[in-house]
Amino acid sequence: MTAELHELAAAYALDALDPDERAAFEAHYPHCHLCSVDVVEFRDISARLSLDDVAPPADLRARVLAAIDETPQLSSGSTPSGDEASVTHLADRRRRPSNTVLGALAVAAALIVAVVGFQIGRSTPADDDQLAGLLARSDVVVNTLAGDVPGTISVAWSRSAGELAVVAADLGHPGDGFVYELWLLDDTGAVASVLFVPGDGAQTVIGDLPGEPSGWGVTIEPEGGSATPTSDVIFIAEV
Amino acid sequence: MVMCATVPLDVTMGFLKPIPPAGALRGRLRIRSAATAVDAPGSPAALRSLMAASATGDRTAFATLYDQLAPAIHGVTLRVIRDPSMAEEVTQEVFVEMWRIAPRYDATKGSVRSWAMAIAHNRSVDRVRAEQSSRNRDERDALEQPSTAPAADEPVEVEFERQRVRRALELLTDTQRQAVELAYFGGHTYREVALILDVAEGTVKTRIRDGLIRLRTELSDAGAAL
Repeated sequence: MTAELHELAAAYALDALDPDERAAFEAHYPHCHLCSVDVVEFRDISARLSLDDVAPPADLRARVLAAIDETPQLSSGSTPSGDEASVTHLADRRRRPSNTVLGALAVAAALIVAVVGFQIGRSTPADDDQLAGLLARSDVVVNTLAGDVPGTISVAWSRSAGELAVVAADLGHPGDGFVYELWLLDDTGAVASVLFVPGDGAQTVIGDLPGEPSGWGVTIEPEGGSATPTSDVIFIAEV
Repeated sequence: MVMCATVPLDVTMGFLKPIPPAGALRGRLRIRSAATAVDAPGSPAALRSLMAASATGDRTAFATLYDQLAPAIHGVTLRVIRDPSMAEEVTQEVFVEMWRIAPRYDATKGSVRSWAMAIAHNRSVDRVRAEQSSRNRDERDALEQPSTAPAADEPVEVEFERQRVRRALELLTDTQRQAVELAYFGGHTYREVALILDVAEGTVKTRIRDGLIRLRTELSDAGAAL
């Protein structure tokens, strides 16, 4: 798989991959020095292929400037997937929920994911006692999610307590109007989620365990959460 | 492929540091307006400084960035999409997206121009693929340049760069050039290119890769481009 992935940088830079392959490559290349260099260099080449500049209609400038007045900027700092081009697709994927992200989850976690149902779990800021109570359970499991962006996310969960806690450290603000959404993947293909916003009063959130996890993924979603992931998966773990 | 680790609790159970609202940071980080930049318009340094200012919410800088990049961006959206009004929509989308994600632009991962063109191409391809179900694109037309007037008062460097890229493209084999152009300008995946050309997918993948490697070799001589 990896040997094949190395071959995809050129086609990726030309936007010539299928959604699934694209997702697989995007999960791979930020961690691969060779591919990262190839992507930067091939993108530079592809940016030069279009030989003919064409001035857009003069009134487009005013329309663009009016539109940006209505458009809040993302916060700096964390870069989902460590890759600005992945960020590029966020808004796009937000509009049309994409199989790409589910593809990425499936590839990265080697899970078969089909959305058969979802719920947005209740989550509340946890106080020390609640967290201690959960951590004292004999069956508590802590999974640390691997991510491409600064910060760490761990999920502590206990079957007997039916609870989970999300502990995030040094995580960037997701941007105004956005939240982090944790996705639970289980073997039957169900996906359920828990919302959290670090630095927003909640340092650790605790919520109901919405299912039997075989993996976790984290995406950035519009406030209120999404029914299915609509952005790149920025943190992931297999249980 | 296993990406998780079960780790001791005392290691993972740290607490979040409060993060200041992005707006407050932006106010403090506001840097010189790029309108004062002395770099030549359109140069990588000029674009970088306009980008840095745009990332702090400087609309004047972004308007200048628009002026310097719009012909290149619109050139690629029009070439890929071909429908002028749709291309115009996408060009607008590209700039709004650039504005939105400006704070995340990372200069270590490519020039502003490459970054912007990657967004433009990606958006154009998305649009073309979304439209594909509703209309049949004539493949022979896909590679024809639209008839458009070149942007006025073009600096000599732009013409020089164009000739350089054209010469480099001529050095590719016909099959490499065809694969690269069908993918980039035609907006096709390499699998689609394989169907169009009736050759194996692996062959197309190799042609695209070899083609870009050749172009990289031809176009990477330090400093020759500008």
